[in-house]
Amino acid sequence: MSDCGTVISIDHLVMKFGSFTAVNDISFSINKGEVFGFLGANGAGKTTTIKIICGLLKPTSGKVVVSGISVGNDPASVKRKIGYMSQKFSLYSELTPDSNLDFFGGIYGTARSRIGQEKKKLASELGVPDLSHIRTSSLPMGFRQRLALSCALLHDPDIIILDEPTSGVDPVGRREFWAEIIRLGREGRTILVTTHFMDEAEYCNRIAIMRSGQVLVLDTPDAVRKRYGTDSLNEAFIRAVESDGGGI
Amino acid sequence: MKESGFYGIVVNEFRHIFRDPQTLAILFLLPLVQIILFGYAMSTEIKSVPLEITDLDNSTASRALIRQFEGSSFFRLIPDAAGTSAGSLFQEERALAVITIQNGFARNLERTGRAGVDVIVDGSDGSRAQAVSQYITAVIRQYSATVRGNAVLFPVSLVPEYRYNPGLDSAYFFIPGLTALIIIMVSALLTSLTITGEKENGTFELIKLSPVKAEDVILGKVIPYLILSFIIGIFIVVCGRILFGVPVRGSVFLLGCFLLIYCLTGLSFGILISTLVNSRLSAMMLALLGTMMPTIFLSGFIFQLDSMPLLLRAFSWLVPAKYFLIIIRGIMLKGNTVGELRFYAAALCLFSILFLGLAIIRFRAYLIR
Repeated sequence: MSDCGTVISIDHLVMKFGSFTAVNDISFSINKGEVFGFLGANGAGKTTTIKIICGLLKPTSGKVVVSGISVGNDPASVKRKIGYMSQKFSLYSELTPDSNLDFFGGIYGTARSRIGQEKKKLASELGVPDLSHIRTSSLPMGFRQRLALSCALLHDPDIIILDEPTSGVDPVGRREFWAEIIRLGREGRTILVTTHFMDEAEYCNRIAIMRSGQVLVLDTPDAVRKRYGTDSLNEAFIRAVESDGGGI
Repeated sequence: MKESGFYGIVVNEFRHIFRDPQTLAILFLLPLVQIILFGYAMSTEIKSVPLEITDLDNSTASRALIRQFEGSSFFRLIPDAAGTSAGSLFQEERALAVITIQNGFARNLERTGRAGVDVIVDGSDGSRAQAVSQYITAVIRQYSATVRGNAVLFPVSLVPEYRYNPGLDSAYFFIPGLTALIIIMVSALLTSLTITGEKENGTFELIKLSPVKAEDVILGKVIPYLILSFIIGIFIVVCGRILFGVPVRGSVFLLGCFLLIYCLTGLSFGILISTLVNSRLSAMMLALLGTMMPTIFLSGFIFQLDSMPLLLRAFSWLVPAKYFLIIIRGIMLKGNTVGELRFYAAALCLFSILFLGLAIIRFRAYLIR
């Protein structure tokens, strides 16, 4: 959790879609082993920033370096280092959980033994002998999110990017999910997570609040609270996005 | 590592195919139903055409001519039509042809050795009218032969031999045509739904995020369907053989090879569509319209290309089914070999490479924008 070197560095990043500026000159870096929270209203530029980090969008200007590799120069190598799980549930819901693991293991070239191990682990968590006869769509939401996380982690990525991973999951499921995320951070993996839940933001080592394509504030949850003079992170968030500070 | 991405896509696509046995069954039932419909309902041969004969001569000779028609399986004499005009018989669809034997038929035949009959045929369906008048001519010719005791009534007699299809069996014409039509339709449809389906489910995002290469995704999605559509193609040919006795006179192996290329052409077209549009519905419309219309109208399956205006004939060179129709008719009916068909097979390869190449280029644009 301590500063063990920069894993993601974002330098003067700008992304324009026509006349609309989705990301307006942001710069920050994320350290190894850090759980980094990305907060902001819808349309603040979080998802666009994540897409650029993952190599899905080419920025208008600026540079992103992931584990020492420039995303613009070698997106394929960067993709191998990142495990991504989206806000939208995106597994093959008509296939079995086992088939999903096979597929995501397959496209990343994961060893079969590793895939088999993960299948057993998930089956025991759900309390069934195996996951080769159930349709993924018939699983409870929390478990589907858990499966999606397993799929994203199969290729053993150093960096995990979670785009609103717990929307639609019940409170118990969310707590279990976050226990897993914190454990992954302790393993030395770097985690970038976007969320709308302020209780989840509390789990993060640092948070960045975005508005209109700019980063308004970037600090630990405690420091953010202090800066806006409130005990509640929720209140701090509202004060941040409603203030003019950091605006154009 | 490199091959594993491709392998993952192939396995996944196979699972999607076998997950749904109902769809799989429909894929085989559909061609079967079409074959049966074409074979039994849309028969182009003419049998028991309703015919009215007005006998104004009422002689031994004229009655013999009527018996000649009665004895033919092509015609059925309609009852109670005496005195009704040809016009109203056609209007009411009671008859397709009216023959009038004029008074003096027997006398003329006796004296000059020549006599005429008046024939009126319902021309509202041109090709049918032509067939009916040909059959009438044939029956009258038979009659003439009996009257003149095989003497030469027509100085030059015509006995055509229909090579490759001696019985002019319509199954010989529609089984190859249906194979060409169904294969291009089904194969384009199958792949057009694959990537658009992923776009709709959101799984496409995850593929884009993975390090898989565009060519691995495109080929990985095509290959399982190549096997499936090839089996469907073989199934149609076998059905044609079992149900209608349509032979494969050339090499079965050669037919298999060319069928495989043709399947690839259809699948490549479908996957290209899949990279161009974002919803399954529009992909389906494009795949069906883009294959069905040109194949029905411009492949030579139903309409003769030779009699079309130059512009349409030129356009027909862009229709893959045209080439495959020449290939499959050639191998099944004429026993053609590679030498005669290589140009057409090369054209299909060219189509496939073009479509696949465009699909890969189009897919790459998704990966890095």
